[in-house]
Order: sequence, then structure tokens, then C-alpha cells
Amino acid sequence: MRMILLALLAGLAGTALAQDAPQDNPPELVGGSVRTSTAIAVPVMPGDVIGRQVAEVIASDLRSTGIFTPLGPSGLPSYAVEEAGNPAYPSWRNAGVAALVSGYIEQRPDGRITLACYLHDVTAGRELVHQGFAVTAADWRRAAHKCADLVYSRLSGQQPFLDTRIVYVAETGPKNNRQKRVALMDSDGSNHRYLTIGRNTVVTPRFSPRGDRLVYVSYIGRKPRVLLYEVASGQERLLIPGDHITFAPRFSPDGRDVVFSMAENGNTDIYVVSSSGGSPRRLTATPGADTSPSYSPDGRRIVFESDRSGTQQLYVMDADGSGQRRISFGGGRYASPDWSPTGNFIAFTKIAGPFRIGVMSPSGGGEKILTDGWQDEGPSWAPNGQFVMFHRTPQGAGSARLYAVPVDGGAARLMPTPVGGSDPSWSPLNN
Amino acid sequence: MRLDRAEWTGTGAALLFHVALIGALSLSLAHVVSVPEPPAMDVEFVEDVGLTSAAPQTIATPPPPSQAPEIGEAEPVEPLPVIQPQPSIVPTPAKPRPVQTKPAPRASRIGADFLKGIENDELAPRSGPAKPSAPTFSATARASIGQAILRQVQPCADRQPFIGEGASQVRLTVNLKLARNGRLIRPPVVLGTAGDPDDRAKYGELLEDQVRRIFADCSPLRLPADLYDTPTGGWNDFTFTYRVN
Repeated sequence: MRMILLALLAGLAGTALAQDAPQDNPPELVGGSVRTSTAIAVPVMPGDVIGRQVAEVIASDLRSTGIFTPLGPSGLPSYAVEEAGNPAYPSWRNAGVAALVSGYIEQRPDGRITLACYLHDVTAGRELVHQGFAVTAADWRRAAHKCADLVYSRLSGQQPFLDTRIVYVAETGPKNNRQKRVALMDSDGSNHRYLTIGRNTVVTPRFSPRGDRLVYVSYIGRKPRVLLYEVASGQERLLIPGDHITFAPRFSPDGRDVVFSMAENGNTDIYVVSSSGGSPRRLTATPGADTSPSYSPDGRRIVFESDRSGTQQLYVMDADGSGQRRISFGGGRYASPDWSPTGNFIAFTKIAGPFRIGVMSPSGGGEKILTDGWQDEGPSWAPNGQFVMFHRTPQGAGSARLYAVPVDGGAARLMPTPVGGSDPSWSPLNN
Repeated sequence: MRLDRAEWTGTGAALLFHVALIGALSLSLAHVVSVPEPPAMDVEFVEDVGLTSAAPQTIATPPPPSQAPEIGEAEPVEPLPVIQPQPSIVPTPAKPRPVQTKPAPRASRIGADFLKGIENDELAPRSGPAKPSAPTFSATARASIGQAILRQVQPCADRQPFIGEGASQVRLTVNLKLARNGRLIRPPVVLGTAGDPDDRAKYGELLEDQVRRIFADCSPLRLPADLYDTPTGGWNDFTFTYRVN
């Protein structure tokens, strides 16, 4: 009897509990991933006459990322300094933008200026981030780049990359008498200047991890030689003294070493040497041409190209030269590898008819071709690992230009160099 | 234990009674409360809810009298003991606003202070006099409400931009606290984030931004008033997960 009653009660209790059961699996809202650029207003910043120019630089920087459609500064209403942190969101919403970059410029007692930079989510009606940048008045462009980096970083989740410089080989003159000089500029093309005078042809300039030095190849007496260049002083010296043929240099991630190729007795191998001097140490010893070495960001591995199999292919080895193994098997030839700063990709030039820029994983999988030009080559990563810069020579054209392409897909964007150029290298983020 | 005739009769009657009771309960529980969909209406999002009207100021004709019970002085009531108003809550006349010559757009105009004044702004009527049977927030009703909420905000969710390959691997668990008028009492709160740690660090905040944007752009929600707050729960407290394609 008791058993029967207990069973009845248990059944009733179970029914009641089922009704009030907690929500174990909450409903799921799935957002879209619309491949569209975000409309972002960049009005003139109040406080100083350079407010319009600052806004123009910010808008231009944001446009160059490919993920924003900046509006302004022309055609947008002005606002007071006090409104920078508290804008009239409904008005900006009516302007059809999703985000707003506001701010102001303030003179400091020490003669410098402060650029106060605010980013607002216009749709949600709230400030997302703000930061001030104090610079000398002459350096206002850098403050604008920093503001653009703040906006890009907050809205994309990526590391900043806009306050950077680019070194490349500037090419001028006719094809049969081309002058090639090392040139340096900000990532938006401003502050362009030549570092070499063009007496010798130069190729493959590369930044040091801190951006204070360069290595590049200069054809001295028709022999390629690696030079090490101090950006601040303009001083340069041979990396390897003597009469050796050296080329394809790159710094190690800590800047202490330079890895490069050296040709001896008809064989080209990869060596490493301290950037402060000393004797080079040989890393490869296989018959054939081993060249274009590039360190992984942790400094433990090196990717390079070699024709030891009969055609140019990519290989990875440990930083001491051990454990060499081929990673490219996709057909065609592979050249000029560059390990991404994030470590998850290796960019390369693929030669299979046309020259194309591609990326693959360090193990060789997931190959993806990023460009579709006739002759695209010489990839170099942006410091945040989201873009690859390269030089493109159109079919029938005599000179190359620099382009940057997003690694997750999209169109390549022409870089604003004043002259034709090749062999770009992206600097680390400026301090 | 042996049962005599009276005990057998009693036990049999008890069994019959319980079987009948279970049957009745089961039928009642199986009956799904049909949640009537409110009639379609144009909702215009405004910035200053309850503070100042965002409607065009040029309207000359007074609005028709409200059919819903009014709060305040709509009808004469028995005098109550006078409560001295506190200075902080004395209503002050709204500042004059410039006349809007452009008709207000249909896009969202919710601002940073879009939560202000919600107590006085009743889009959904409060519970009226006690009904014969109080509504219950059954599992079925909960599921229906969940679907209704997601259906209403889905257009805004669909508009969210691509933020990166790894973002689709991250899933947020988000809680909403809703007022009776379907607006948020406070911004959405992320209760948890699931996914690869690197992806969570990179995309968690961006996904939270999206959730805030979605509910700023697609609220107030229109939900059945009688299920706002029942003894067994209600849509005043709603938890869901969010991810992107």
C-alpha cells in the first residue's frame, strides 16, 4: 500500500518538476557575418587649425584597412570640444554611420600637442574607447595614425599596424638604366625619403625588429653584399667583411642575429651571424641554392627556399640547421618565403606560369593564393599579420608597384609610393 | 500484510481517484497556452524615452484618450494622504527642443540614455485585475517566448559585420533584464564565453559589442504582457547564447 502511494506521489512530483525544470539549453541567436565595410564618421576635430588634416589622415588610414568606409571630414557637421566625449548619437545615426571618431587637439604647456581620440558605437549609443596622444606639433601625423590604430584595433580585434613605416627599393629611370635606391616612408606614403644615393643597385631591404636598423643587399663591384644600416645615423657597414658574395638577409626576431645566404665554391648555403659582427655559422650544406631564410616569430625555426630537389621549394629547419624538411608540394615553384609575425602562416611567391602571392601553414598545409596578378612577388608581412605587401609588375609594364592584400581575402590595394618600387619590408609598430 | 474487504475497497477507490487525477493533470499540462501574437504595429525607436517626446513637435491635434489605465491623474480618485514631493523627483519642464522639420526616420534612434524613464512608459499593459487562472511560464511558453525574442532581433543580428575567421568559434551566454515595455533595464550582461582562449580574447569583446548593438537597434521587444512575470518565471529575465556564422 505504501509502495503504491509512494509511486503515485513520485509520479505527481515528477510531473510538477518537469514543468519548472531550469532552462538547460538556452535559445541561440546567430549573428551574420556580413562582408561589408563599416561606415564610420570622421569629422573635423576641434581645437586647432590642423583638426581637418588630422581627420583626413585618420579617414585615409581607416579606408586603407579595407574594412571601413570613412565619411568626412568634408561634408560632416562640426562640434565643440566638449562634445567629443558626448556626441549627439541620434544625429550621427541619422547620418547613416555605425561608428564615430571624435576628439580634439589641445596645446600643452611644454609646447607639444595632445590629440584626444574617442571612438563611439553610434548604433548602441556608447563610447567604446578613448585615448590621448601627446606629440610635438610637427609630429601630428603620427598622433593621427595612433588614433586610427586605436579605432582599427578596437573595432577589428586585431593588433594595430597603421603607425608603421615601409622600406622598399624605389625604382626610377628607363628600363635599361634603372636607378634603384633604398627608400623609407610612412605606411601612408608620407615622409618619403631616400636612404641610398643610387650609385649601386640595391635589393631586399629588411627592417630590424625594433625598426632602428636595416639590412639590405648592394651590388658593390657587381657582387651582391649585405650591408647593415643604422636608420637614425645613416651609418652603414658590411655585414660580412671581405669579398664574399652575400645576399637575402633577415634579422632574427630578437635582432641579435642576421640570417643570410652566402655563395662559396659554386654552392649557396644559409648562414647566421651576430648583427654586431663576428664569424658566420653555416646552417645548410646541401648541394644547390639555399636562400631567402626567414625566422619564425619565436626564433626557433627558419623557413627558406632551396632547389635541392631540382626545383625551388620551401623547407623548414630548426634555427641551428637541424631537422630540414620540405613543406611545399603544391606543384610549380615556391620562392621568397616570409614567416608571419603571428606564426600561423608562411607567405611565399608561387611560380606556376604567373607569379602569385600565397600563404600556407608552417607545416605546409592550407595553401591559399591571395593575388591574381601577372607577376606578384616578394611578400612582406604587416606587423599584425593581417596584410601581406608585395610588388606587382603588370604584363608588358616596365616597372613594379607596391600592393598590400588582406590575408583573409580581399582585393589588393596599391600602396601610395611616389615612384615605382619593389622588395617592400613593413616596419614594426612605431613606439 | 493481508487486506480486508473494506481496505481493498478503499485502496481501489484511492487508485481510481489518483488515476483520474493524473489523467486530468496530464491533459491540462499537455494543453499549450496559446500566446496570442500582438497585432502588427509600427514602432519608432526614440532616444529619450519618457523624458521628452521625440515625435515631431508640430502635431496640433491632441492624441485620443488612452484606453489603458492611466498612471497619475487620468481619473479622479479618492484623496490620499499627501506625500511631500522630494526635490529630486519634482518633474521639471522639458527644455524646448527645436522643431524637427524632417520626419523621424524608421531607423533606431536609441541613445545612451535609452533606459531612462522606462517606469513611466508602458507599452505593454500591466497585469489587470486578478484573472480566474494565473498564467504559468511553462517550458513550452518559455520556448515560445525565446523564439519570439530571437525572431524580433534576428534582422539586427543578420546585419552584423564579419569580424574574423575565429569569431565563429566563440559563443557568448548573455542575460537580459527586460522591463514590461520590452526595453532593456540594463545593457546585456555576458554570463560566460566559450571557445578557444585566443579566439575568446580576440573576439569576445567584439561579439559583446554586437549583442549590445542588436538589442539597441531591435528593441523594444513585443511580448505577451501576462507572461512578463509569473510565479513560475517570465520573460523579464531572459538568457540566450550568441554566436556568429
